[in-house]
Amino acid sequence: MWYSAKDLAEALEVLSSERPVVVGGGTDLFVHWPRRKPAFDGRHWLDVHRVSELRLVNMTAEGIVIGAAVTAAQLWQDARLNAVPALQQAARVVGGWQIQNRATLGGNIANASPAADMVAALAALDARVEVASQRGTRMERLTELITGPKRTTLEPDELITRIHLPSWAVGMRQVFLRLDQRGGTDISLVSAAVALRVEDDRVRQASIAVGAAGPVPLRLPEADAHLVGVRLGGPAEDVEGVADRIARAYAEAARPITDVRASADYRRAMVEVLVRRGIRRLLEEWKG
Amino acid sequence: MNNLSLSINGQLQRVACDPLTPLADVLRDGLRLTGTKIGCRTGECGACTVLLDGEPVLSCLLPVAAVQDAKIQTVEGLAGDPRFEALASAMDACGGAQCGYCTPGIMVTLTAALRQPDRFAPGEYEAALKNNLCRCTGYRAIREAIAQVTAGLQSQEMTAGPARNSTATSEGAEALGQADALGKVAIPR
Repeated sequence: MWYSAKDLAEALEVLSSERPVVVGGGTDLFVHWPRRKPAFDGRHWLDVHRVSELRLVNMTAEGIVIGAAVTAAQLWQDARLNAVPALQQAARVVGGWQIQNRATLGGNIANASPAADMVAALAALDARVEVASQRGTRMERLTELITGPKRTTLEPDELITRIHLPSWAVGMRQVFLRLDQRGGTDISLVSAAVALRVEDDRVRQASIAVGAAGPVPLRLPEADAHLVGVRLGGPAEDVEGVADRIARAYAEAARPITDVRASADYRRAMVEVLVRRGIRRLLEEWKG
Repeated sequence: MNNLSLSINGQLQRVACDPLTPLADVLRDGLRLTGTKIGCRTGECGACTVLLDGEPVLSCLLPVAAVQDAKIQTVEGLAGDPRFEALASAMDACGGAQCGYCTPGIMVTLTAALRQPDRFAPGEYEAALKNNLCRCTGYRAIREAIAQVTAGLQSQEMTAGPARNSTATSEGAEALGQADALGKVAIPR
């Protein structure tokens, strides 16, 4: 049975009674459908892409709240979200225009692919995920909600409703970088999101996340902290030295896999390249 | 099996099928709208592109149940749209179609892009084609066709009005100019 919920209450009711497969844009669920169909035999479906509560973007005093059914295309087309360029860049590189018109932010999270681009950007921005069921609502850090490849803490009756970005993420210098073979219509080999707050020519806050290089987005706050206090316009080797040190830390901590797209060694080497490139781009080439 | 009603090319169509059937299959097998092609079924090639409420999407990834409330336009339904016709003429003139399998998807995507000029700078329309693969032309002829059509659009903006002295000489640009100037479509074939 296919349920198309019009509002959140209806969606949560169906979730509670039918334990359906939740569909946002379906851009991953329905890949090669004839082959996948048998695995879903007898399942119910809940289409949430028309649930109005899940389609909203709100700028609040606490930060930005983005509905789970907001599409990648909406993310890069919404001028208010120019305040979080890493997320917009990830939304604009994932797939092509057709995919971006359907793929949802909540779907990208619930799908829990280690290579998810928007998830890597959200992880660097320290996103929190609001989850609802008929039992109530809860908030969980994105990096704790996703527990492994295709695994989350979501219960069968729960739905991701909103993604919350903290106010400190708004207006930071940010960049999202992605390594792939075909410009984004294929899956990322490695991705990196870097966000820096620069005030009075000094880095005051730094937050980095690496995607596709381990079971969950990789974050190393202790390594990021080396950037705090770095002075812009100082000796170039200072910036380069810090960028190198942090990039190596991420490469060492990465746990990439070998598959048809790339070897683990190559991915690890590219983690170092992307992290270093991201930091240097924000410190040396940034044009806000 | 469910009975579903769909709005396709401005007409209400009733189909009886498994609600999870990809829209591409319903269009081709159920409704004989075979202009929509199926290339990969993985959302990469773009041959199955249709418009959903005006936005291009991949119909191989869309369960038909998910599009019951939407306005669907297939390549067949775009005939007569001045931008589509200008593009068709330009693709013809430039040799933008060889085997032709990818062509409907490319035409649907580009027509949607040309309808949303605020989203694409003149030189950036080909960015809209990231999700459309062509294995014959190497894209060069397709890019030339886009350039012809957008050159027509620009010259039309610069010389708007009845005394328009168009610098565009391509068939595609002329078709677009005529269509917009006269408010109806003149299709050079």
